[in-house]
Amino acid sequence: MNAAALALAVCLQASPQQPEPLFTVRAAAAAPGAVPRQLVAADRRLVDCLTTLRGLCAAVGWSLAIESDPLQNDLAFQSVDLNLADQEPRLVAQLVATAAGADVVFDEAATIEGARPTLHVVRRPDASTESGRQRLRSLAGQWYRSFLRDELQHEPLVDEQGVQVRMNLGQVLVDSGDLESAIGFFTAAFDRRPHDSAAAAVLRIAECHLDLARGQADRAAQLAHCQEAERWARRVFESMPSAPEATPATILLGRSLLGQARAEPTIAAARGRAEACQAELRARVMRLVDSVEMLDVWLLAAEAHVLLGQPAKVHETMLTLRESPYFDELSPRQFLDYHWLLGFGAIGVQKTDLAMRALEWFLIHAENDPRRGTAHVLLAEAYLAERRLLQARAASVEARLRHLGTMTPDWRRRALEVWARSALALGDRESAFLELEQMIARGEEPELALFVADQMIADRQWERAIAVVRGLLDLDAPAGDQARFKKVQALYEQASAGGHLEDFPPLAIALAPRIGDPGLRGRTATLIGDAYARLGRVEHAADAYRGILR
Amino acid sequence: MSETKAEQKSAAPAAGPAAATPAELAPSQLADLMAAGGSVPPPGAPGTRPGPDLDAEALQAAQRAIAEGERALQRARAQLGGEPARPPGSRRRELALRLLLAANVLAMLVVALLPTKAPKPQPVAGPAAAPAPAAPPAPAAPRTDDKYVLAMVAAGNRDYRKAIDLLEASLQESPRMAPSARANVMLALEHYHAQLGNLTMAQEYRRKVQALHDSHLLPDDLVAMAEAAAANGDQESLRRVWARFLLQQRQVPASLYKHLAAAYLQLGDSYRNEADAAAERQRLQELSAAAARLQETTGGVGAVK
Repeated sequence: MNAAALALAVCLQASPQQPEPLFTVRAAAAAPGAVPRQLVAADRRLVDCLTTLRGLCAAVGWSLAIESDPLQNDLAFQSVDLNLADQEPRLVAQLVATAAGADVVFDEAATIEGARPTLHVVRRPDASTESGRQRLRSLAGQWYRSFLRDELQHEPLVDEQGVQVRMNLGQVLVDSGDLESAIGFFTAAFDRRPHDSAAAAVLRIAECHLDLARGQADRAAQLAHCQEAERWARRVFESMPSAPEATPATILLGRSLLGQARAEPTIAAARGRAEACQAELRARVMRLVDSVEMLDVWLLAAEAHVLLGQPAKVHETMLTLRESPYFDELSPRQFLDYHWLLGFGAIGVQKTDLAMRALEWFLIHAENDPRRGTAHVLLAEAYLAERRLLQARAASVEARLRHLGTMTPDWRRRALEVWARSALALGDRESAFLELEQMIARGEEPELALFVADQMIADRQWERAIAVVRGLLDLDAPAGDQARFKKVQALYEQASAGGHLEDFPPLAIALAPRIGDPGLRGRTATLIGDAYARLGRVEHAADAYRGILR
Repeated sequence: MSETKAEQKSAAPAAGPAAATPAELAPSQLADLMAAGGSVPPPGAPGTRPGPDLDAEALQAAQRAIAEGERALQRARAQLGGEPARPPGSRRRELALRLLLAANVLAMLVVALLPTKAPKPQPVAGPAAAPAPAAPPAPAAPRTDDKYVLAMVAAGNRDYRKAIDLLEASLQESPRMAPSARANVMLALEHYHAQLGNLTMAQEYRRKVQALHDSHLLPDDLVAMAEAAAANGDQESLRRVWARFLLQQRQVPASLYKHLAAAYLQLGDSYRNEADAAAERQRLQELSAAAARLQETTGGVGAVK
């Protein structure tokens, strides 16, 4: 038995040598601290693709995973000649797969010890699916990068096509959502000027920055990207003022300024940016008159009016746009903008029927538009004004339940107000008040308390009104002044209704000195004077009317 | 050909005064006669053709001679039929006509035997079983020393052994044979071995053909294939060919090095264009679907004005 085992071992030892590996690997010099790159070489004829991929994976320490048996058979059927040196193994794997009509996806190793990267061999991407198109773009980018690599930089074709390839590669990256990388390639194309694509590269860079700003939640980052977009757009005016790209650059400049206005932390700063946008558009609009680009200019101007709180001007601007001979050439995006702005402006000038129709059109067509929330708010206001209470309630509930989180504080307050007003208008007062009180008690919307207090005073629920504004009474701000005045107002109404007006002046006089707003303080003094007058204390009343409270 | 023209010129007066009056000659005939009698214009003179087509001229002259002879014969017959009494000299005229006809026939034979300007015969690339062209202008004489052609002839005579010997000798004599021609020779060898029942060799040649198709393409061949694929818009083949080309880039000669960059560029363009075209199709489909859906649900709400 032992002899047999020994003989077997000898036979195994004497078996023919393993075939020479298909690939040889060497480590390329890398920067200090960096992982050295692996480069492979091969020189073999008539090797099937399956063997090639297996040999490559064995050489560089990857696992190989093939999608299906039929694909494995296809790989075995296709042969290639290998004669390469100092190549990236991933590139070689991709080339072998491409030669066999397949594709490879590289899966980095997990962080656990001993894990190996895996090379997945799959069928070629299907262009009819979004993921397939993304993969095709990724492959295009990979080959474009190979085209632009250093070894080929002296090739006449690279010199001739380099700018266009960089522009194409940038666009591929934009389509793939990699805007940061796209900016790099557009910038590289711009740096190789003079050429015909210089202005186009600038516009692409500005557009990428605006898209990046749109995707940012942080206001500072939004502001930074919008400022970059503005800087690049201005480059067209500085270096290529007569280029046709000056027109789209004007539009981009306007968009970047409005983007900055929306990203500003204070209302005053936002208004300043909006005014700057209007000034820029006014200065550059002469060259755009009678061109289709005026449509964008009007839309931008109207958006600036929105930020400046000028709904009447928004409405006026949309009327001007409507009269344009190019009105029917509005793109789908521009049509959406037009209808939202028309609705906003029409509400401001009390054309509620027009606002209602415009906003209904907008909501039908704007499936995933971020302005759907604000459109619901505006539509609810329009319905309320038209006394279509059920529709107003439905729109306000939609705005509150589904879009409140996407709104700015101003719009959020407006949404809650119209939601509460629609509830009160429908006669569902008690439940509406209860829910509003709970929201205020939770501290979610402090400024909503002022609105609720007004509604409660109107509903003769003075104690509840005073309780609702209690959280704002010590606030040293305009909202605090409003809250203190509303408490005075509630006390006066309560005292008048209860027939004990003599209790009111001392309470009001205690609050009055803390009301900083002169108008509100004057109205407080008037209420105290009225109380004294009704009590028959004429001298005190006269003093109160003069502002002397005692 | 000059002989034919001389006969034509001499035949016209022989037809007799009634047939040879200038008024009866067609304008084209007059022009021909004037051209024949006039001086030859210098080469390159305005209105002259760049080079005489001697064959065509000879053919036209023969046709004219035949037509002239036939007309003369008809006139002679008409005269014979219309006049019962033969005029004096009719026997001689008949003889002259017969001579004229004989000369015409002779002229036609001469024209037919003249060497034609046939193109130089190309080496036959297809196997013996390949169908002949539908309407060849003139069958080229086969080269007697072309082993491939001789092999085809031998195979046509069912002498497959000789055909195999010739084809194998052809392969040995031409180690740099173009891959497509080499593939044809090997296909023929596979077929003839199979005819002889030598299936092992047939399979061996089949494997070699497959290997040749799959792999053994020199960079020049791959560049040509890629250019053809690009010209035909065959993006899938283009990618495969360029991938093969790039996998053997170390043996790319300096003259083809520029194609390395072109390969990367065309690979990138190919994938990008496919993605863009598919995205555009998708966008159009979505737009039309959305429009149809809106039309269905809203009855087509127009813009608010």
